[in-house]
Amino acid sequence: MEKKRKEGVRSGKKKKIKLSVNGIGYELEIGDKPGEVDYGHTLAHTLRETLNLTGTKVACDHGACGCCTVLMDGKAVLSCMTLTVECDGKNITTIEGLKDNKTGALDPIQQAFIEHSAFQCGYCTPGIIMSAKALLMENPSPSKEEIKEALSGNFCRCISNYQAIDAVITASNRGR
Amino acid sequence: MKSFSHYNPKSVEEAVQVLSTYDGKAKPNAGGTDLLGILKEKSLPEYPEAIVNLKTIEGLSYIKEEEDFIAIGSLTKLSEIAGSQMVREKISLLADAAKEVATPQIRNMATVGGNLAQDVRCWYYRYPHHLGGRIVCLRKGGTLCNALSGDNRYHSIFGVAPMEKYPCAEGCPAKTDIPFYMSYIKEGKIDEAGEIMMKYNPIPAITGRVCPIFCEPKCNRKSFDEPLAIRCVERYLGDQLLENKEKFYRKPCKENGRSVAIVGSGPAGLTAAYYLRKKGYSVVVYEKLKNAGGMLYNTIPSYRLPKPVVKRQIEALEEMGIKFKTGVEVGVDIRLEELSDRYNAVFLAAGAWKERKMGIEGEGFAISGLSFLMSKEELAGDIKGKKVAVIGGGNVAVDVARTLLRMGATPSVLYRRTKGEMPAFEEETRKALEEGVEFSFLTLPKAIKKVDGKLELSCVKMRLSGKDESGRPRPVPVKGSEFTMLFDFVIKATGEEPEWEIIPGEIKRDIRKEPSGAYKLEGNLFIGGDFANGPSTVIEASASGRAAFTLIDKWIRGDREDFIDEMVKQRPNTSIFVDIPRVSIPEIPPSERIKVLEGEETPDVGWNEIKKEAERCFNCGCLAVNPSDMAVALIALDGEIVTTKKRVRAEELFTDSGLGKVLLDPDEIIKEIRIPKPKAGSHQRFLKFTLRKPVDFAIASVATSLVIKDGLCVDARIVLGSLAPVPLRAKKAEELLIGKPIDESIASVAASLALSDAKPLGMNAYKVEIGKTLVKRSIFA
Repeated sequence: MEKKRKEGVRSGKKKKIKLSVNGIGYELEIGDKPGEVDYGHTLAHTLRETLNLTGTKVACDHGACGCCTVLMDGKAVLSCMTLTVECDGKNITTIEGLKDNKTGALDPIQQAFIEHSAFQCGYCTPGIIMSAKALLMENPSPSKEEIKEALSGNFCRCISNYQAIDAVITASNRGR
Repeated sequence: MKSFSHYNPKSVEEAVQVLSTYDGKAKPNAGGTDLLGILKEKSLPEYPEAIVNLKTIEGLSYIKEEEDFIAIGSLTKLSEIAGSQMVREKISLLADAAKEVATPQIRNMATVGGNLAQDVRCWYYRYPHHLGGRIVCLRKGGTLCNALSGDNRYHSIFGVAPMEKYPCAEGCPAKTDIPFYMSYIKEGKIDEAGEIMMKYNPIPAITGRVCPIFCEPKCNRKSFDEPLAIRCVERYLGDQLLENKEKFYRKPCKENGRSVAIVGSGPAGLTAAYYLRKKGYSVVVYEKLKNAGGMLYNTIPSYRLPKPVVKRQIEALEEMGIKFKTGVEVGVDIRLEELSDRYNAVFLAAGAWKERKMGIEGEGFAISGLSFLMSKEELAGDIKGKKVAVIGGGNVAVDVARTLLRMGATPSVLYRRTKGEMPAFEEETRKALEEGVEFSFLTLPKAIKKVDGKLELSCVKMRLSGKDESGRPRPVPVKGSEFTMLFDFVIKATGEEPEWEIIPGEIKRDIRKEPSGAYKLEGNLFIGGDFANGPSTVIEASASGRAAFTLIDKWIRGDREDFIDEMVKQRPNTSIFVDIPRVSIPEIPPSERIKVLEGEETPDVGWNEIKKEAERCFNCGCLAVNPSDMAVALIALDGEIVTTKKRVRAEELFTDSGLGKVLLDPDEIIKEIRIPKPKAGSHQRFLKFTLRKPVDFAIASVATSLVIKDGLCVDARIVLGSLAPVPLRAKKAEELLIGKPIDESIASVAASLALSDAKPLGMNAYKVEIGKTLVKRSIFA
């Protein structure tokens, strides 16, 4: 199969995948050259290394910490445990895609996180905000318990969890 | 991650087709949350060549309510199951279990099929390759389950997933299930241990003394400290069997009216006789010598195998109703054709007694090794203080030399190759050397001459060059190295072969295939043991005797059930780890040893030591637990799993199917799960204990599904998760609840029963209490 793949490359019929990130369509060629997507690349890798969207963080790289959380078709998923080649036709939203493109205003969740100082080092914050975004899109007025549940897959070593929950409550109230 | 080929099949058929072309080297990817971890860590020795993405298959993500069951497509996300109103109302247990899996993000990615098919979560098994190299555990083809003696906090408290094949048993020519009988000895159950032993080897008192132990070098414990002293335990067990012969060598309950004659009473003959008699055949054993036992009684020296042991063995067999006709030589005293006519079958197990000729001048001056061993008493007076040459390098040569030493002679072994090529057991050669037997290696006698009442041996030195047809180094003479030596006696032991002359007519000798084989000749003649295969070991000849029994029995009865399938006992899968050294069997010093000709040189070992030694058996298996929460729930709900190859009850898919065997074939995909609709009065509960609520795998989980009717429990299924290699039904607890009202006290008793068979290891006893608490709360909270 390896051979077949290389022949494919040589004959110029490169496989491509199409995906949309933050509303922008990308057509990425599959291969092992710079700018291409290898079969072994995770979505987190592609976002950060190929598309330069470094807002998505990779901490554990094993699906345990939630730092790499992005939205795929509106659902919070772990980009470190997703193969990019399996994202053909998907709509991805990362932390860079939350601000209002026209006004440049931050998403209400981002704004609330700042107001509540809901982070210290900030490394886990993009992941937490993406989880919160998925929650509020599905459930604009969550209870505190529902917020805790939705953020339970995101870990913060600086113990800003309490502020994060308050921030999400604030954001949901503003959305009402 | 290393790269791989990647496929996006559109249909189940296409996915299966791709998987099957890769012959196990492609992995399906349902959600990826398990697979990608394994790929990143490179923890498995084989990295997949291709990934087959199942997410592109349409129509496998659904939750459907059928008339009497609920069907869920295998690609349905756990978040969808947890969030489904219908699932929550009808089978809340499944929704709860789905909700307990990992984190919201993972539940958005993970599928129910993937959850059921995920790999074990043992941190030895999953140790990352980039941190000093992967750990090769038993599950990955290694020799040890590291959790047994190491960190087993997260491992099974209900024993191991057994191996498909045990290296010790595979090493044994008789394939004796060593871990099985050891597990009974651990528990002090000699009778049960004996029963297992007798299924493979009915003469363990003998093999326990003279076996060159094919098993011990294969014992996995050797990579921890030293192999188990299997022969020592076997000998003890064998002696116990003979001591209680009325129990173990019982007459058959029913005669089957058929008869078999056995020619030869060595290990092959005795073994075949035992199994045939046990099945109700009338068995007559013909032995040309005065004493039954073949080489066991007549040539193996007493210091290795005491005559009383062989006698007791023969007596035990006699009491089963086997007749021994000694001093009757087939072909001389009775014709083979006559036996053929008189019996339904004849088994020729006459051994290999014909000594090979050296083909040298003056060979007639040499005494044959076997006849020396048989009639040494007659020579006792002459040989004391004499110098004796022993020609040969096999067991007979070494037996002769060591016997000579005990008779006060000075033996000198002449062998044409070196010590490394000697066919004699290493242990025997070592003892001979310790005792002072002189060895002249690379020495070939060319002629024997009588000179002044002594024997002059003309020899030539050899060197090894190339290989002969048997693959051994070929000895070639060194030019000009001829020399002579003077001896009082010369004994030759240069190999034996079967006396084929017993068989009249045309049946020819090129039958030798494998040492433990037995074969059918023309008519009702069968051959086995050394007679068929040439000189081998006692256990090989015995195994061949058992093979002959199977062959003869099948031939007489016609093709029906196989013998070995009689095994009914469930193999105990408990493992314990004891850090005690191998039993040390005191050896008598060589200078004392050579004073005794008849006494056994290896002393008996007591019961305490034997039991301790048996406890050293690892009962090899994998202690990892299946991590799937959905499996525990599905089994409690008595759900079914539909794959591309079968439709099975979940309970049947998750069985201790043996290490190496996985739940699904490499090209098999789960398509659907089906859960029967619960009856009225259904009480369902799923409880999971983890160290950190989100993300972590269960330390213990319990899924309980009860049906309460008129205040009484009429049906109960209680399944323990992460406590055993696979989800385990607490059947004793279930039985207790049936027919009773559910209250707190009965829940407590059920909880204790559920965990009563637990055999925790060094670091996981804490799981017992957690398990009990979860069971109790799942029944009554």
